Amino acid sequence: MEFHSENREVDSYLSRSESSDSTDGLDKNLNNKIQNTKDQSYEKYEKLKPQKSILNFSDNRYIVFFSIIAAILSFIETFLPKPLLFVKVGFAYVPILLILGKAQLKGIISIILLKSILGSIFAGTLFSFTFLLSLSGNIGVIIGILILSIIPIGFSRIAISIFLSSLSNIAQLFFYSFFIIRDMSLLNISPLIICFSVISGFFTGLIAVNIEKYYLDIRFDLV
Amino acid sequence: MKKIVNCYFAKSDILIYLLLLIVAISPLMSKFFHSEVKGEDSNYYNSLFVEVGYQGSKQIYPISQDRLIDLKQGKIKIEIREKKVYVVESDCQDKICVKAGKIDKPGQIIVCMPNKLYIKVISKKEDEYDGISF
Repeated sequence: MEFHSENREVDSYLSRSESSDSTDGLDKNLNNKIQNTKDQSYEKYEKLKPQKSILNFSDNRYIVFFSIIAAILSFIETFLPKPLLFVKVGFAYVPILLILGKAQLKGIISIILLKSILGSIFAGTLFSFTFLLSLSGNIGVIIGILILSIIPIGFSRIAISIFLSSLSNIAQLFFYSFFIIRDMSLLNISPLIICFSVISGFFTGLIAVNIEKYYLDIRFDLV
Repeated sequence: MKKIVNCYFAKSDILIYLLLLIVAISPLMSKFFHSEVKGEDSNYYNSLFVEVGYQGSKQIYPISQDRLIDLKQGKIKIEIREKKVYVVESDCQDKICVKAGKIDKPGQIIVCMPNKLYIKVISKKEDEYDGISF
């Protein structure tokens, strides 16, 4: 009972103080000043805001540009710790996601293959076991892109990235269980792997969508 | 593919999410309909054997059959029950063999030094790894 009465007192005090504030002239001036400064800072922010830059490609040179960017990103990703085998944020797929649906299919597939080879050269794992694993994942992504190119429905980039990441992880799991341990019981963990790939694919898709929305406009004058 | 929607969510995304959900659930559902897992288990236990070595001689028993093994005129009692092996009774001092508990995995071993006794689980299946790392 005491608790309730205290609350009431506090409420009444607050309401009184508010009413007294509104009548004071000094506080009005202060409020105006604050509003003015807010407007100025907002204008400054508007000026500082990065303008959307445009990348124009009229040649097949975009294949080299994007494959090198993707390879460097995949190399940077190797520095990050990997708690589980299949869990990583696929930064390397951000440039590929950005040009998906704009460039030609041939170019996209060659970018993915070049990216896997160049990235393994940078990381020093060419022709090793991890290279074979990553290559199988990339082949899974290529199959997914071919499937999506057949379907005439338009999807958002986040859904596409989730789909491709889960496909790449499932392809890696198939490769691992078919050729390395030859035991099909490992496929039972595929629901868990799809869960992880949904999380990582969502974040890569989010990055790609935001880059396309606010920072970069990629245009192709091909065909 | 040709008309990718530049937004966070499109209505057609539900198709992809449903497909992924079905793929994710299908291995879980297959467990309810098939009883192959049990068959695999019985195969696994058929390949396991118990090797009992006592005073230099050794004998091999299958782990899937329950039995009592008496040694030293009943002073040492070894039991195989529910696909696990353990020493019930022993006349040694420290009873380390009794305290070792139940073993059922290939490579596990119970030893009783004063009686020169060892019990070992062995598997006749080849190409079996404990774990793989890379």
